[in-house]
Amino acid sequence: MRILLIEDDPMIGKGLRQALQDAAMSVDWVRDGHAGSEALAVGEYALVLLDLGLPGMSGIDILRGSRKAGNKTPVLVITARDELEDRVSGLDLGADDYLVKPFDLRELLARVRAVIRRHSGQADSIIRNGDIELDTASHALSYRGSTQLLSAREFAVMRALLERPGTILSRSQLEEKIYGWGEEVESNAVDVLIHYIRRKFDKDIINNVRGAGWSVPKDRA
Amino acid sequence: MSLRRTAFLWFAGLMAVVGILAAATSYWLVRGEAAVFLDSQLRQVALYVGDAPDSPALPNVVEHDPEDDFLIQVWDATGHTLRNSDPAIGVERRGRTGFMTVSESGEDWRVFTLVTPLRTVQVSQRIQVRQELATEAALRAALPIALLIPLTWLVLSWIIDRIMVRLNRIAVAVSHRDPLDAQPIPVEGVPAEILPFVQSINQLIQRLRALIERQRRFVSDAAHELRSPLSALQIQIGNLRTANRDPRLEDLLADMDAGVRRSSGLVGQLLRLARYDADAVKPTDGQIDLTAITLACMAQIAPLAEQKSIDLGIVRKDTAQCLGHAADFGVIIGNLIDNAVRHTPVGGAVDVAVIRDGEAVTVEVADNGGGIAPENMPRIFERFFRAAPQETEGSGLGLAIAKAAAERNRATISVENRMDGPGLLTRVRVAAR
Repeated sequence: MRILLIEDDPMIGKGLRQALQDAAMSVDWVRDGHAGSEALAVGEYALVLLDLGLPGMSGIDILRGSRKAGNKTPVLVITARDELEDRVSGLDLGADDYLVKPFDLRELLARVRAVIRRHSGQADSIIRNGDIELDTASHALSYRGSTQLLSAREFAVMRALLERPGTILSRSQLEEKIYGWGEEVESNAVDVLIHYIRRKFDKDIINNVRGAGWSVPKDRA
Repeated sequence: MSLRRTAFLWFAGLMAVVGILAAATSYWLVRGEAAVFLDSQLRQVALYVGDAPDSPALPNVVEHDPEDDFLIQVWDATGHTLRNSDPAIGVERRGRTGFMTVSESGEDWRVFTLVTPLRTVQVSQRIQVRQELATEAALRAALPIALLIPLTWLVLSWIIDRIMVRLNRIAVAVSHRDPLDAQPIPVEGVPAEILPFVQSINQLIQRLRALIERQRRFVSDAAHELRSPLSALQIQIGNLRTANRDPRLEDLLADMDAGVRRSSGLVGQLLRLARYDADAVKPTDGQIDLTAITLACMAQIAPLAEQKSIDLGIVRKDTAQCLGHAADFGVIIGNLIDNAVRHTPVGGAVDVAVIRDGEAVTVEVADNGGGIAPENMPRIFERFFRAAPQETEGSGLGLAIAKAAAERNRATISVENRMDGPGLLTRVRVAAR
C-alpha cells in the first residue's frame, strides 16, 4: 500500500513516514507543493496525506487542481485548527477526511485505514470513533483492546451514540432508537442498558451529562 | 497654568494698566484745563460787569446754590464801593490787576482784580466750587475710559476663547480616541503653530502602531513556529510508544505525551489570543443557538468530568437564540465549563444553565469548588494569571481568551463567588435575538 505524504516540515514528515512504515505502508514523501502536485498526478497511491500550509503551492490548490483533473485518489488533510477555521472546511474542497494538528498517531492511523477501506469499496461494517470500534454485522464492540458482543438493544444504543459522536442524545432520543412503534417503553430502560455497557467495558466509554443525556466523545484519543 | 489663563492675565493686566493711565492722564489734564477755563471766566466777568449798585431782583428761575455764585465787587477811583453782589462777604480790595488766591472769612477764594483809572473791579470765586467743577469735568472725561477696561476684558476673553477653541478641538479629538486606535490625528484645521506638535504625535502613534503590530506578530509567529516541532514531537512519541516493548517505559512515555499535549494546547491558546488581538472584530455574525453550543461544549468536557467523578449537569435549557460567531461562543462557554470542572475537587458538581430572561440570554456555570479569593478577583482576566493552586492544570489564559472572544461578540462575562455556598459562578450574557 503506497501513501503519498506531502508535508514541508522535516520533523513532522519524518515522524509520519516512520509511523506509516511501522504500520506496513510504503511512503513517498515530498516536501513542497509543486512536487506534491506532480507526484499526485503521475503516481498510483492508495491515499494522500496532505498538509495545507506548503511552500510553492498551497495544499488547497493541490487538492482543487487534482479534483478538477478527475483524480479520485482519497485525500486526508492534516492541518492546524486555525488554518481550518480561516478557510472553508477541508471536506468542502473534496478531501475525504481531515485531522487537526497536533493529533494522536493512533487516531491518524485509524483514519487512514478507514478512508482507504471506504474508498476501496469494501463494505465497511465497522463504525469507529477514536478507540471504539463497533461492528455493525456481528454486534461486536471493541474498546481499548477488549472486544465483547452486545445485545440488540445495547447495540442500538451504541450505534446511535457513535453515529453522532460529541453530540448528547437525550433519553427520549435514545428510546426512539431502541424501541419500535407500539413497543412499551420501560421507564429506566436506557439507564439500565448504559449501565450494562459501562460494566462490560469501562465507565468512561459513555459520558453522562445530567439533565441532558449521554454521549461518546468526539475524536477521543 | 493654562495658556488661556496666562494669555488672559497678561493681556487683561496690560489693558488695565493702559486704561488706568489713560484715565488718570485725562483726569489731570481736564482738571488743569478747567482751572484755566474758570480763570478766563473770572476775567470775562470782570471786563463786562456794569456799575449798577445792584442787579434788579430777578425771579429765581434756575435752582442753584448761592455758594456757586461769583462774588462781584466794584469800587470807584476813590475806593467807594459801587457794587457788591453779596454784602455779607467782602474780599479785600487788591491794588493790582491780576489773579490771586486769597483766604477770606475762612474760605479760599480765587480772585481776579481789574484796576483801571476810573474803577476797580474784583471778581472772586470759591476755590472749593472751582475744585468741584474741575473734578466733575475730569471724572466725566476719565469715566468712559475706566468703564472700557472691564469691557475690554470681556472682549479679550471672547477672542482668546475663539483662538483656544481650535486647540480644544484637537484636545477633544485626542482625548476621545480609543487607546488602541492607530489612526493619525487629522491635521486639517490645526493652527500652524501647533501643527509640528500634532505631527510629532502622529509619528509617535505610527511608531507605536508598528511596535504593537510587531509584538502581535511575534506572539503569533512564535506560536506558529512552536507548533510544528511540538506536532513532530508528539508523532515521534507516538512512534516510540508503538515501538516500545518495555512496560516500564510506558508510564514515562505517557507522561511525555501529556506534556507535549499540554504545550500544544498552550500554543493553540496563544495563537487564538493573538488572532483575537489582531482582528478585534469577528468575521461574520450568524443566528446561533446557545443551548446547542452549550450542550456540545458539555459533551466535549464530559470525559474529563467523568474522570474526576464530577457530576456535570444542565439544569435549565431555555430557547436561547442570539447573534454571534458560533466558534467564538464555543470557546467562551467551553472555557467557563472547563474551568469549573478543572477547579472543582473530585466528587464535586457543576451545574450549567441556559437562561433567557427578557432581552438577554445568559449561560451560567456554577461549581461547588473553592471559589476565588477576593484579593485575586480583580486579576482573573489577566493573561497568565492563575488563581488556582499550581497543581491544577491550566495556563491562565482561558478567561483572557473567553473575555476577548466575548468582547468581539458584544457579550459580557462575569465571575463571582457563589452566595449560596462555596463555589464559583460564572456567566456569559448576550442580547437575545
